Amino acid sequence: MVVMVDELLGIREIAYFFVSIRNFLAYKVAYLKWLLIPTLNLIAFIFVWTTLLSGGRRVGSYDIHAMILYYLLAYIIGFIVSGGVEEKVSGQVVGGDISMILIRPVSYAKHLFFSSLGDRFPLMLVYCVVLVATFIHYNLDILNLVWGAVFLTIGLFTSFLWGTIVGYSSFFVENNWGVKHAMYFVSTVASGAWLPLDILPTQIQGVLNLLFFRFIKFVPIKVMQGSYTSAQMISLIGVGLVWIVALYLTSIFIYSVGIKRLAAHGV
Amino acid sequence: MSLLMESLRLGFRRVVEYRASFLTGVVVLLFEAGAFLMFWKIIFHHFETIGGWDFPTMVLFLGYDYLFFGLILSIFDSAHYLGDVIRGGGLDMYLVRPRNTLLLHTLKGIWLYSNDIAVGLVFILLATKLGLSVSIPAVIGGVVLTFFSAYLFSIMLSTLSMLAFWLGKGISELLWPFIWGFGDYPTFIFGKLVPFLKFVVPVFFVATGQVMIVRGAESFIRAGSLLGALILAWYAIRYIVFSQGLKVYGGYGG
Repeated sequence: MVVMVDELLGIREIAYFFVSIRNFLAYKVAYLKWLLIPTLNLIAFIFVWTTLLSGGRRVGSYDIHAMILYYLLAYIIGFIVSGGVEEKVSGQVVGGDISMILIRPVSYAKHLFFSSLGDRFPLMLVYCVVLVATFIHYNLDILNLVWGAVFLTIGLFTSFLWGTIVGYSSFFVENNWGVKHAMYFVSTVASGAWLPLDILPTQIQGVLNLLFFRFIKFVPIKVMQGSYTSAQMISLIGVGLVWIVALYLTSIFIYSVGIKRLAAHGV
Repeated sequence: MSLLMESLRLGFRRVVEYRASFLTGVVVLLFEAGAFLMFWKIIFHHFETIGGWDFPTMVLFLGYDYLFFGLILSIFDSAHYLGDVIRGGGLDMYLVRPRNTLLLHTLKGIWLYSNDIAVGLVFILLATKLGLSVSIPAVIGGVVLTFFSAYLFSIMLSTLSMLAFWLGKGISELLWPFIWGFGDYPTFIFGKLVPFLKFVVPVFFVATGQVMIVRGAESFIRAGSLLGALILAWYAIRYIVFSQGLKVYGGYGG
């Protein structure tokens, strides 16, 4: 099957996708932890907001139901768009395993894309079903799911490219734990995973609206909740695509500088 | 005592040895702590209190929260990788010595990663500067409770790690999501889950119990007694698991 798809599309890096799926199935227990963390965080957030918004209280445009839906969508989208590619890059660069990939006739960036996609593909499939179920349960407009799919794709590429940029920092810093942790926090806060961006103070909203992080979670969520008009969504798609190109070019630049510092045994 | 002092000295040397890593850790932690403060500041911008707690009380909560994680990371960090030691046959190194095996493993893991502890103490101080009236003995009582709370979780983590004797891999990692997920919020917001979070996975003692003692909503004796009982119960469980596990342990690994 791998060979067939490989030959059909002419992209040999697709093989990494299937290998990663096999790894996922082989190490199910380890993945259970990464399933538990966001699930328990979601439960915690639901309890926090239930306490805060009980008795018909509101914050911004959110009542308790809108807020729970927001976090539920953020949780689902997290499994679809976020891949932990920065960990993969750091491990390969610091450990020197990257050299095993570089000697093969494959593109390193494509290898990363397909292997990180494969890492989470079984969970992605499950959470796509959960997403559809959520739309049915909350009686959301199914057209918003179609628009949402477009924005999820933008979010997936944005998250992937940002992950590669953070991961490539290991070319320059031997122990990039701090960089990864700091960037994870920036991404979590600025993507709207912690708090909906539209309840933040206006000045902070202004800054975050200038950045690309909102395309990872906040924008797809608001699209699915039907908060944008068609014209706004088309405009946002344009902005998202510009960010993807900018992140892609940045990623290529950092890789091309970083790879020159790589020794065969690692950094 | 001399063994403990030597372990503390080595733990301090390890931190100093990796200065760049230490400094990066400080910057990251300041950023993270700032983000948590911002999170609660924004919440309290919209709501005056949460379950009777105001912003300064939440800063005190964050203080004990950081102190707890600082203690876990500094002194009891070895608990969660005990499973890897068992699997790799590394337990032999401790078993051949005429000392308590688990104590030796704990002492070897001391790292003195003081960043979180420092941030915790700064937040506790900040809470008082923000106008929270506290009594010094109650704050110290909270600190003492935090130490024993970290000890309790280290016993729980090492017990789950020891399942590596039979499973080939410890499952202490599965406890962390509960600590992170529920420990970072006041326990009372979890409604019907409170008994579970007080007696089964007692994240009540991460920081909520301490803040309630400082606020006079909980007695130190009562909270301390419950914590003591939990420590004894888990200590007994760990003893049984360890002694049974040693029977199936071979020098080549678990």
